[in-house]
Amino acid sequence: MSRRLASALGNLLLIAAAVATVLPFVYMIAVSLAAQGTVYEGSLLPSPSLSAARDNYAFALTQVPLLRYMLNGAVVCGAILVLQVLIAAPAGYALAKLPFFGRPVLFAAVVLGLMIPMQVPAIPLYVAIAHLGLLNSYTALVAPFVVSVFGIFLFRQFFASYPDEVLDAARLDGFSEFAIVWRLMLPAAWPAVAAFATISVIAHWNDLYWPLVVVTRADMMTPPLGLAAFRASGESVGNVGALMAGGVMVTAPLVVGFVFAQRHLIRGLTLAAGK
Amino acid sequence: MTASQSLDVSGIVRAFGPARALDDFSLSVAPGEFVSILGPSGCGKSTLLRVVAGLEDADAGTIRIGDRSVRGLRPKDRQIAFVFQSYALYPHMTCRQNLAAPLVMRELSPFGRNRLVGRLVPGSGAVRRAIAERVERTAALLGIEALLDRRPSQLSGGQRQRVALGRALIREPRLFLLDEPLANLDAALRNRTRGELHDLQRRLGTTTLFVTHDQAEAMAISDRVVVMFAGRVRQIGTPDDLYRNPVDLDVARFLSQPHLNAVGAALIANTLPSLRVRGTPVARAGGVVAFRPEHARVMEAGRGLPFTVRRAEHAGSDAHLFVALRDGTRCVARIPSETIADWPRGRHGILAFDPEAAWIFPAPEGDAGHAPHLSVVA
Ligand SMILES: Nc1ncnc2c1ncn2[C@@H]1O[C@H](COP(=O)(O)OP(=O)(O)O)[C@@H](O)[C@H]1O
Ligand SMILES: [Mg+2]
Repeated sequence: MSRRLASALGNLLLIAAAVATVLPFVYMIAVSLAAQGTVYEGSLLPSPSLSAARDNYAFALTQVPLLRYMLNGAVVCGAILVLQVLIAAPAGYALAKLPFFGRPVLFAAVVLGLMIPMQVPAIPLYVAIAHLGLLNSYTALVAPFVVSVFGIFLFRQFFASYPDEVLDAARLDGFSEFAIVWRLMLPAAWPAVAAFATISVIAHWNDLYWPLVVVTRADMMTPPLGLAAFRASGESVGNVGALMAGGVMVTAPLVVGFVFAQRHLIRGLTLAAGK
Repeated sequence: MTASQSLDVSGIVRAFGPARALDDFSLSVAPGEFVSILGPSGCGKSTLLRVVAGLEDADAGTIRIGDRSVRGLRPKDRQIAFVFQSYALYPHMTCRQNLAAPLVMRELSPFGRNRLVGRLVPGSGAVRRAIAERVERTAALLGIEALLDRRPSQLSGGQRQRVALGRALIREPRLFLLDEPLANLDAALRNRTRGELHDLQRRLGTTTLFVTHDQAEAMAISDRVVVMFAGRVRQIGTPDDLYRNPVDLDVARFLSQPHLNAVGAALIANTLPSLRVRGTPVARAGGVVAFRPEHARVMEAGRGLPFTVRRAEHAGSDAHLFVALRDGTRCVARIPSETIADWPRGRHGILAFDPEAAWIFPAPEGDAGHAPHLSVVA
């Protein structure tokens, strides 16, 4: 009986947390669908109207280059992800499977790197990028993130359990060390790749901090920075509906992607944690 | 088909920290020969194969395959095929891809290997077709055509073993290295497979080093057997040679599993003062006298070693009778199983053995000649 009660309480708590998480999104969607004046009328959720929704979304799409922001976001996230995997997979393989001098120290450095927030190297990075004349470029948005210590760590944990005899067999069969990474390790670690891809894309799609530092021109803005600029520009003053419509359109690709990837994401992370 | 090659291994040392896994190991294998490396677990058998394959560096010594030193050659350039105890198949590839892998990695360029770009690389189509054909031929040789599109996880142990064998022989290596390839199979399959392995090796004529800790396996299929202990060669010979003329008590024990009797020469000399073992008077020899259970007889009375029965184990047509001699030495005699009832626990009798089928060995180190609890291999 008391066990049932405990589980009921637990469920209640989870439901409350879920509602608290989802509510802002529900509100965002509701506001994006409602007419200008109705938002502050006092009802919890403003009532939707088709014509208002059309106005809001059209305004968001025409007043600011929202599609351009999203294209920038896709290019930046894609480039970051590809380069991160290209670097983290061989690095994780070396840390997991190749004995070399200083490996434990290097691995400790990777773990240490996990604990350093982006804000710490931000100023030197900014100075360097500014000196190279690379402000307001894709390079400025991508380069600081191509080495992902989290990716290296995740891949190392995954690769460590790959059977050594299979690697020996591969070396006898003529695989180079890179061929081992790309043709054997990575395909076997695809849950980790999927998990890493999801986390990386979410983090960089949503990142406001770094684009704010290195981008000032509208045509290089990523979605969150674009939205921030939209809100600050005065175009949206009094037009919360359009702002929320922008928010919905910027969030939608992530939500859709996550729905598809979530099974792999969870599997990848639990596998890595269990090692 | 590459011609068979000889293998010469000389003075190999491989140490892990202070412990030497291989300690001045030397061996010559003739072209086409099937040689087994037999020894207890941990004696360095796998290390030997890994050093020959180049997966592990030797600290000293030379390795020659067909009169050419392989020093400095990478594993893939030594033209050696290795079958691992765990089979080491590529888990996410189908069996077809597993078999093709050694050929794909050797004969196609990195671009030619790629499924998308590969079609654009000149000549790679013909190479691909040749590889596919060799995969089919090898699969037919091993009877695994029906398994080609499955993944290793969908196969039984015996099927995996076959695929691993196929992947090893598809590139027609100069040398086969097999590391306990049968150890993970059940008993019936193991016996059948070892016969097939032997036939296959004879047909292909490829020089083969076969590692096992199972003496029956080594005796059954080898031209010669190398008995190794603690990283060193103890004895090399044909199976018959080893079985009849082991050089010391360790080898005799290893080749007489499950049981070998070892009785202090002093005890025998006391009871049978004039006994000669293969011509040598036991009274003057010292050490231990060793003989197999099948060369021992038990009687109610007569000339021999008095004993007390401890227990009997039924083993089909025969039975093993475990007895204790007067000084506590444990011995085993093979008796017809229908006579088990004649030898209840505690019964006294006389043990006799055929002196022409026995050996006199120096007592093992740290052993005064009769250590009752060490004298029967469990
Ligand atoms: N990579 C290694 N590091 C440390 N010791 C090892 C390593 N490989 C083997 N050894 C040691 O070398 C000895 C021989 O091992 P191995 O060749 O695997 O024996 P076997 O195959 O005969 O069972 C063992 O004592 C083992 O512990
Ligand atoms: Mg071994």
